[in-house]
Amino acid sequence: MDLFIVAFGLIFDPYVLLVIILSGAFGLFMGAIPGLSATMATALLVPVTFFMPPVPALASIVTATAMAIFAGDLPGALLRIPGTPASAAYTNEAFAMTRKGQAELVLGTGLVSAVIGGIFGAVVLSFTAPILAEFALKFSSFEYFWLASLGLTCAAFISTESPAKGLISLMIGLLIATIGIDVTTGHPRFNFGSIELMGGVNFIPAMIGMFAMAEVFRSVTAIKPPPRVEQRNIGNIFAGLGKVLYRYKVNLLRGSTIGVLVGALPGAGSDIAAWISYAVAKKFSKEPEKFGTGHIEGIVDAGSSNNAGLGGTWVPALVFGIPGDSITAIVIGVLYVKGMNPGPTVFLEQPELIYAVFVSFFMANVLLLPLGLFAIKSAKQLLRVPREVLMPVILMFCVVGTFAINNTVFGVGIMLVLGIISYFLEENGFPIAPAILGLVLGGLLEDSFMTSMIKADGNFIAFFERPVSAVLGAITITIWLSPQLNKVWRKFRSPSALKPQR
Amino acid sequence: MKVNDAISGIFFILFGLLIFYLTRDFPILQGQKYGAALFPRLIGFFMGAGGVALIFRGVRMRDGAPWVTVMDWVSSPRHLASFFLVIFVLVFYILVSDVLGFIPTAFICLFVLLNWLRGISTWRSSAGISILAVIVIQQFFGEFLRVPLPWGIVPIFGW
Repeated sequence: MDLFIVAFGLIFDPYVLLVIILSGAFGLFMGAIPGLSATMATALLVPVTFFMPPVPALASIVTATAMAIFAGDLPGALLRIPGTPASAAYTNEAFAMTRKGQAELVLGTGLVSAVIGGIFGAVVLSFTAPILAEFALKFSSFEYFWLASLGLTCAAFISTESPAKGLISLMIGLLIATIGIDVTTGHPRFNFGSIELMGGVNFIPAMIGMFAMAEVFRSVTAIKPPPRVEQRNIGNIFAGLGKVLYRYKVNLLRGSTIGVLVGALPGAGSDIAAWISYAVAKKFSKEPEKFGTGHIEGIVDAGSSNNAGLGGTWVPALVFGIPGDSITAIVIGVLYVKGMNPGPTVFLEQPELIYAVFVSFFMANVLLLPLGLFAIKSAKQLLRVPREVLMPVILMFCVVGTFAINNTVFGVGIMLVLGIISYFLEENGFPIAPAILGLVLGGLLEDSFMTSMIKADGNFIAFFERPVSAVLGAITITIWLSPQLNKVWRKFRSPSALKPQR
Repeated sequence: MKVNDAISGIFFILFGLLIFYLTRDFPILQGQKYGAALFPRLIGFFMGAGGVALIFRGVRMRDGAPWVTVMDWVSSPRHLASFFLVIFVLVFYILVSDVLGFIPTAFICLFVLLNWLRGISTWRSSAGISILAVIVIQQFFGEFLRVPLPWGIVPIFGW
């Protein structure tokens, strides 16, 4: 409890609060514009957080993502385009409600269930992470190798249309991570004579390239112009809201629970949580026939689920240093940049920092109510910001952001190359999230693998000798061997699935 | 360019082999049978394995579709040009920002892109947006975050 008080002190500092509010506004804006996702918001924030102490840096990412996930509902309901992939599950439903003249109700429900789901996620995160961390302290390099493998495996297999493509994308990320001096032998790898590459590929330009640059390319080559918003004003979003929430209170709890659990799975984030919750809501509904015609029930489930999932994804990220999705992968990268070693030792060495993350989750979700309300009210203007203006400015922002990390234009080159590569990969159905996870975890994976190999004197059986590592290894290998599992997962996603970009 | 999965598969098998080739003279650890090449080779192996799976998938799902389809925007000269313009602008920035300085380079990049994307008739507002964006970015990164953005030909003056 003392730690919570210390953490409150850290967060309730004028500078941190200002950062939180600005990040919140930024997140809402990014989430509300289709094509700019919560992940891209995080990617663009990173160069800025680079200059901050850890607490405001983390608080800023937490707030921006929580806001962005909700804001994705805005274009979903008003334009029938999900603002972020996390809203894709119920975009048709929300738009059908707008068509029936219930835009206020659907946005209000989305907002309040997001707040409730987010707070639920924050509670679960605050209570489970410290307990799990205590357990994780007993882990050795064998367990970490399997944990990293497990996380990466899930990332490659769960959220993709084809496991082979997820695997290849992951390998690309891992390969990029091997560029530079090899830590075990001191030999430079794949730097092709470049001194700058000898230090490795910095993850910040890489990530900005993969998430932001690729989107710029997609936007300037889009043949179809984005649809215009209907001219209509948003009235009182709280009218009739109480009745809906009371009627579907079980859905709120169920959606939030599913959200946290799915989020905590390595490799699955808010978007998958929303798909699953929506499917579950339909299955257990008393009136499933109404789903798809503009029925609020599924939106309560999925709307709370995607925000609760956000808290869930931070559990494995904070406890083991294994990210649950691409946003937390970026967070892990940020922690490394800040000289911290994500994992259970942070709970011992800097517990106040972890508790500050918990507090910022609460803060962000409480703040979501007023800021979200403001975003809903200004949705008409927000959605009218022209792409042709936004993209060049974002491009320039990316350039300066990558430059800022090492103060050389070399990073800009890396961003460009990886932007082009990931644009083509995505066009051919390769997911990008596994690549970024591979890039972030590559170092840890290789280190723990090589350390374990040396400890075991090259005997691979040693990877299964400790009980926990045996269990983790068995789970990982089971997943490798059973693409069947993956089919079950994919059933939850709609057949016409909007492209799983994150 | 959208290619059939089988072609991506062949590409990644070759890429995996290339990794084996590039790692051929990596040193091994003392007293062990492996070294710096082990991990990249495992990556190459899995990449190749994924490639094999993609070949099967591609052949199975081809169903008469062409092996290679060009994306729809390639046939529109305007969109094709937009794609290359973005690359060109970045290369331009990389090459000249140090000499010319951040403010003029960023302005040229933004002004060119905005004019191209919005149409030349908007050049007045495009110029305005470019100036505003450059000032905001310069102030935010250059002054507030203290990033040493190059001044180049712009004489150094503190704002």
